[in-house]
Amino acid sequence: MERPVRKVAVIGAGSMGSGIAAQFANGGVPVLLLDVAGRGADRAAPARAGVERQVKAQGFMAPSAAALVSVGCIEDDLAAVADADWIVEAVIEDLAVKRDLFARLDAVRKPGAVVSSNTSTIPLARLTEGASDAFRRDFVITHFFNPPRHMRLMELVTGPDTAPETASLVRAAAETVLGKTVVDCRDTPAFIANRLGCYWMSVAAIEALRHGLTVEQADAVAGAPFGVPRTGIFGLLDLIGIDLVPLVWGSLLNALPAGDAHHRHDLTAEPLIRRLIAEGRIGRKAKGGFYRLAPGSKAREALDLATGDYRPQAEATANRDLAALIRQDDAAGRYAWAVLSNTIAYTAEVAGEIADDMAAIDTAMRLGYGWAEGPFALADRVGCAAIAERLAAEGRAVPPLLATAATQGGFYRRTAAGREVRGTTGAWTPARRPQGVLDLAEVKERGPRVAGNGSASLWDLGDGVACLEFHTKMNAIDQGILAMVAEAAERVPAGFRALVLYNDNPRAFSAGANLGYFVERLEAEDFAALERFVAEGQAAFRALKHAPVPVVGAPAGLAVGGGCEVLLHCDTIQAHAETYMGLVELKVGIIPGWRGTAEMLLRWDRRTDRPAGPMKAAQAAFETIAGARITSSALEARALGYLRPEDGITMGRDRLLGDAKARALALAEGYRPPEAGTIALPGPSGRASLMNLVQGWRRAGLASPHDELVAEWLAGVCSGGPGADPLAPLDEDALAALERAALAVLIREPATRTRIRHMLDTGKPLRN
Amino acid sequence: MKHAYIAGYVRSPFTMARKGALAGMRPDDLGAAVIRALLERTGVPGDEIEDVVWGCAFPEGEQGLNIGRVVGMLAGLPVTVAGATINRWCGSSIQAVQMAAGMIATNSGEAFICGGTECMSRVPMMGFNVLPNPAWSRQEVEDYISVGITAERVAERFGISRQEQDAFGLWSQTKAAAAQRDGRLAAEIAPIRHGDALVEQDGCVRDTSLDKLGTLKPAFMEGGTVTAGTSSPMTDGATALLVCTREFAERHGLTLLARVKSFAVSGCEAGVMGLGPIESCRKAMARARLTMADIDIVEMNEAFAAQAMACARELGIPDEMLNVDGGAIALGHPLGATGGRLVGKAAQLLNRTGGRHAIATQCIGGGMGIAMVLEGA
Repeated sequence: MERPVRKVAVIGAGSMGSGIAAQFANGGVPVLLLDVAGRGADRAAPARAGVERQVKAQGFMAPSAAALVSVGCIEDDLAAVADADWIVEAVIEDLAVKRDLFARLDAVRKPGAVVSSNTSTIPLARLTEGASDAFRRDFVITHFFNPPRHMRLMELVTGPDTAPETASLVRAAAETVLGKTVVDCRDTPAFIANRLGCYWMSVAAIEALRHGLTVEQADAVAGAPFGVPRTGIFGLLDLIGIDLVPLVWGSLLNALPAGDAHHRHDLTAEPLIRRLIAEGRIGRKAKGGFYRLAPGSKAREALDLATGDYRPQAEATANRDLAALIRQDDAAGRYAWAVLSNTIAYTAEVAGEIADDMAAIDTAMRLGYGWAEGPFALADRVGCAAIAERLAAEGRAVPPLLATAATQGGFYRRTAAGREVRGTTGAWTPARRPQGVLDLAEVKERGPRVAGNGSASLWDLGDGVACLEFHTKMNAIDQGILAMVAEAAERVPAGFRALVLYNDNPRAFSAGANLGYFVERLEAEDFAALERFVAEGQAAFRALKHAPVPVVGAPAGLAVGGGCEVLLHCDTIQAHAETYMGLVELKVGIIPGWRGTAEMLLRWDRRTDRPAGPMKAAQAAFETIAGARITSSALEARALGYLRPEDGITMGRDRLLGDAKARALALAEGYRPPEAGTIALPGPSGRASLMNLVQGWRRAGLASPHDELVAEWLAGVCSGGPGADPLAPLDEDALAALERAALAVLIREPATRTRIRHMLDTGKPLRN
Repeated sequence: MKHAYIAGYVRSPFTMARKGALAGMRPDDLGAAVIRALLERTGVPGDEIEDVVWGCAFPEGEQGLNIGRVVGMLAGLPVTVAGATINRWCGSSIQAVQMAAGMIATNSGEAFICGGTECMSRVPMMGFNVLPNPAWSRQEVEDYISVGITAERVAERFGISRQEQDAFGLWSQTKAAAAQRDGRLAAEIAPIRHGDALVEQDGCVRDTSLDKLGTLKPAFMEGGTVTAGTSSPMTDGATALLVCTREFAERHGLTLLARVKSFAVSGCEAGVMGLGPIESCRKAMARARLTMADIDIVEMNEAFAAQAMACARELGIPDEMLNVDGGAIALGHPLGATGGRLVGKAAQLLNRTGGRHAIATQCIGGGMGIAMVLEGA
């Protein structure tokens, strides 16, 4: 067990420092954030400004997280770092400034406190020159990416004197508190991601100019076919700021030996880049770079690379099959090959120098640059042999590592023992996975599927835990998923001790009920089919809740509407920190009808942080559901009642399934399913009260006529229906019946149909 | 028949609900603090008090448990001093003064602590569980509960424009700021210790302008005219008055501020509750055989600029008499405590200016008005 990190200090409240501080706070750790003293009366003003910047930029997951950051100034408050277990330095990239700060920190930190630098350019060896032995033992480089809340990569550099326990403390806290994927790097210039990422950007930009592509064509080729984000190359330069080229690329070129391939694609020397910087056309922050919105008309324009003037932006597409694209005998094909061949060759050339392990390189590029796959996986996809042969045919050098991969089956393989990756020596080694990480993809590779259909599958996670995976588009809930939920509730107890609901979809745990089906039946006026759909969902979720094994919901990303309702029926939820929950049915003209309204009432009824009375749960559930808002984090979902205090939050996406499985096993011991919940609700007078709220929203222009009608039915359910009385508690099945009755009316409203159709067509709610 | 006199008045600073300096303080602690301050300032021994008559509009939660008894106990009054909670919503603490006056008139005691507490941070307006009778129509429920809408209705009925309301709001702020600057508010405020902080000043007064007020969106109705700048804010506060006989005051060497001369309550349609003061003032003045021409001071609650303007217009109140140190739009409106401020302020002003008569009056949700005529002592 690692020493826990109970308190952290971050020095430097710029966008990185304050972002790192915010992410520690998001992970529940109190942070002291220091910057230089302000000139006015408030000496902590610069640090305070850093916190405010993060509040504005949504670096904090909830106001409760922001409250964990205290601020001060280096001049007055440095001694307060004495109780920090980990001190992160994020001041300017100036060796003398950093060394001076380290000496002062060394004098005040407690023995064994870790000090890390967020430098992106200065080698560890230089940072620790002249430092005390103790300091060198406790020092590492932790290189975060911006913004620290959302960028999952953290590069870790240790030195020859770094104590193993220092590295393991940082690794453990980065993974569990900050939710980062830690990639071990060697102490080489720009580490892994920026060394390769900057090279790729230089090649992609310069080769586009050499091959005479337009910015749109270049971005179309360098984007989707490579699995690179839509910004491609020129959009990305605009995003990061072209003015950074001389600084970032300049310092990298200075640090690299003359023979490094970076020098052959020198972005800083490119006349067009120099011109744009000189003219202040440095990208999005200057309202113009390679792209801009035309002044006045706001039409999208692109830079003509030949003339340097703007012209209307043109559509551009490229063959998404990269292997086919590079064989195309045209400018796009030749450009794609130039980018691919240089990138793969350079990566293979320097891999052994910058990383211990090939997979680390791919991970760094995926998580640091948002690539769908890293360069080695990309090479495998295109074919290592094809790449090596064409390089050789063109008389270019084939790096030994690529040559080995070309003749011996690529960079990755799957064997009976599991996944293997080529090590820097060229030999196959088992893919490493940090402790506590469980990968559904691997479980699926191993198979077999326990049960399933086209929409959902049941897998065996081992140790008696089953996993129900949804796999429709955006994991929209259709009859197939409902059937599998019902089947899982029945089958799992026969062969397993617990069930986890989890999937790997990068965007959505579940975007809710399949609206396509809904609107199709509505347009056919087949209301009976929809009533069956509602009843099937209610039955499936009820069975899930009362199954004789514990059920753990493990969402990440969007979990809304029906996708939220299914989670509300789990014994516990282990949510990824970036989970966006909400009962948003009102936006499509209905109310949560898969017992979600009932479960929200029961959740609020059990909360003790609100004054009691018959209206407590009714009003809170009503306001939450009528608000139809999607939370911006799991922390916020807790404040809004979707998550209970006992529900867990996992910071690291990689660790979610492992954590959920552990929760499930912990619950399995002596498990007894919950009894049907009962709740006292106010009845018609509560409904009158809630409708007075709605009338206020109507008056204020915050609710439309159909909002009012839907809210009226919601108020009816939340207040317990016409016969409810505070002295006569209702059970959850009675509430479910009220939901069904409300839906039976609402689905027959033409305005509901219009809403759903509009949502499907535009992705936006209609306030009719 | 014995007459009742106001012989002492003190209040807490009024601060914004939820974000103000007193948001963290319990209402019973705040009430006890102003009672202690009143006793200190007047030097009256606690055991000579007959009863604590305490206004509170939403007496539940921390304001429940008969807060009138609780504040006396917490203030250190002897157990022999009784306590009652009075609820007439916004009119609660004028009503409390009137109850003491009635008890004095019927020879049921000589000295009373009257006042009230409302911590709107901690007990929301309308309480935690709003449960109107389901037999009421939606319109009836709205008229009774949604007071912002009633202000819109009054503005419309009386043709009071957005610009006029903004000007009235600014006027209230300007008067309050001047009074604050000149120490006229400090004279009535008892600094309150809350934790490590000493809260000494009102927190609702705003430095604003017609331009700024003009940018505010309607607070209750799309296309409406009532904004946050022309409504009284949600407020935390407490007030306490010493109401006693002339003999009691003389025995204790107290300065008599004013005599309670007459009193009235009245009802009107709930949907225009802001007009309540018109009829209650007319009744109270008639009972005192006075007309507006005989009145020198009017302390009228500004629940909303629209209703205060409509009432001032109907009653013919000259500008220079109305809320001379600012009104509730600027100072805040802690519901059950406000009446105590109006009576105390009017009494102090009579004493300060040597005026003859003053009126303290309020509108009350649900469609009521309350008014008390004071005479210089």
